[in-house]
Amino acid sequence: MSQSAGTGGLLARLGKQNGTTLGRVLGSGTQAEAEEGPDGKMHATIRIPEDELVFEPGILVLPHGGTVELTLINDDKNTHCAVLPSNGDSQFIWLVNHSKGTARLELDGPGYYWYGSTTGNDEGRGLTGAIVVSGDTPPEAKLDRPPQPQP
Amino acid sequence: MATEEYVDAGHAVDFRTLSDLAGKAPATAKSVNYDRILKARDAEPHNWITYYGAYDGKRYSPLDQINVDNVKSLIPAWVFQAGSLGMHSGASTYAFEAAPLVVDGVMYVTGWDGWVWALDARNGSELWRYKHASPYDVSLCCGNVNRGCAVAEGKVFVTTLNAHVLALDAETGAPVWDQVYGDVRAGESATVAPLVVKDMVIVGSSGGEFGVRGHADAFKLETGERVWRCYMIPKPGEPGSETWPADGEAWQRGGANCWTTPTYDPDLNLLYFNTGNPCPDFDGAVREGDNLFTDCVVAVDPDNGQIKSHYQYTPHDVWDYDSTMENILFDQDGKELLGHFDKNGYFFVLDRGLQPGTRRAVR
Repeated sequence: MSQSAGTGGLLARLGKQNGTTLGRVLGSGTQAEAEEGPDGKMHATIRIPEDELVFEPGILVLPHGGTVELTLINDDKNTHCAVLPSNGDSQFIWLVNHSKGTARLELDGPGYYWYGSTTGNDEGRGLTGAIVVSGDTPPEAKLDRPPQPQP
Repeated sequence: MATEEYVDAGHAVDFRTLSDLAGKAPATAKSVNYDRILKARDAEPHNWITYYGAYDGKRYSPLDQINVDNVKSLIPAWVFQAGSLGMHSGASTYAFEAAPLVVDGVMYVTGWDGWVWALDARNGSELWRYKHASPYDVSLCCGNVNRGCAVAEGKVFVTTLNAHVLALDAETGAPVWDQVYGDVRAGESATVAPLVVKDMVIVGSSGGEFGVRGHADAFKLETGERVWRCYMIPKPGEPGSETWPADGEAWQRGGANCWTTPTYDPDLNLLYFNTGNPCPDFDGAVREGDNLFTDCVVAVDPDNGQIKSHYQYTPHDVWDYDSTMENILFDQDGKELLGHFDKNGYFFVLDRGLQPGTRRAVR
């Protein structure tokens, strides 16, 4: 294996082919945190840039479990979709070329969830993203024992 | 970036709206209650309204239309096909492990990764579905599975991989209440089929391979209010704690999870929990002693969650001999007995009172 190309240059090349999976999540993925409104609902925008087969941000972080309202924008010149996790049922939306839509998700925390575009093997080519829910288990559900190391 | 106005993609929809399902089930579960479950096998053999078919765990049906002579002629009446969509945890080990319940023509069945379905038992058509979003990073020792549901008072009760217990409306699948009873960041999860006893739903925790302290929990059917929690590993000073190292922390991560459904004796008013392996599974040096109440049958008072007695099938297990196989309740020669097939290769018959010297036979 040659390492002479330098990690930065190699990642840049991989990022063009498959920004999230190869070039960013596994290397230096893009992240953003949802904004929390006064009503406790969280909001975020996720975009599919042109010719990259990625969701931006690749990792959306929610400060806690609950309701998040997403704006989804497809800036690509190809049709994609999104199948998103939500308690009750997965949420599905078609995203034709240059389109914009919304989704409302109910998610538990803590934990992380994958989502993706399930059309045209978009997932295989990298059009997947992660939603990471921060926070902790409620005290009444925790084990009665001295504090333990945890991730 | 383009500047012209975006095409309106609308709002995301429930994935189920892309399928032809009714969205509603007949209200057959509304009248299921403790009294009906007590008499389930004899009074309504055409149904299967609780896990094991009855509280005694025999899994026996008195129906006789299918018998040893005609069983070879059975052919499928219908097939319900459940697909898998997108990425989910335990991708190499997900499976159906649930026994369906049937209530007057409606079948309630759970699947991997948070699925719950109500089906028309006559033809397999889907009436409603619920899908819990399961975090990808839950610790799952042995697969992305769920072992089934409970039904009572118009609700379907199910546990989720991330250790919630849910009550769903049995007619629509809509959530009624949702309680967290395990800590996923501590390595806990849930796969057990709940059991309804009196006005409570009883569940247990998974995670015995990940250094947790096993427990069972009870919640009110109507509201989800917590009634009790019963730990299967005693704290220092509690009965059984002498079976753990006195100067160590092993009890804090000792295992004894209740990931299979208990049986119940309404006359003795005792739940019989089947507890799992001690942790760590194979290294007994860090947990000298018998390690109660791992690999045990533990008799618990359902009214307050207190342990009344126990019997340990494998003291100080270093072979991962979960004793999670059900404890089957039966009477013989006027005696109230309990039978248990253990992973250690023995079949045990015990007096149900589980008093000292309780063992009657081991084969």
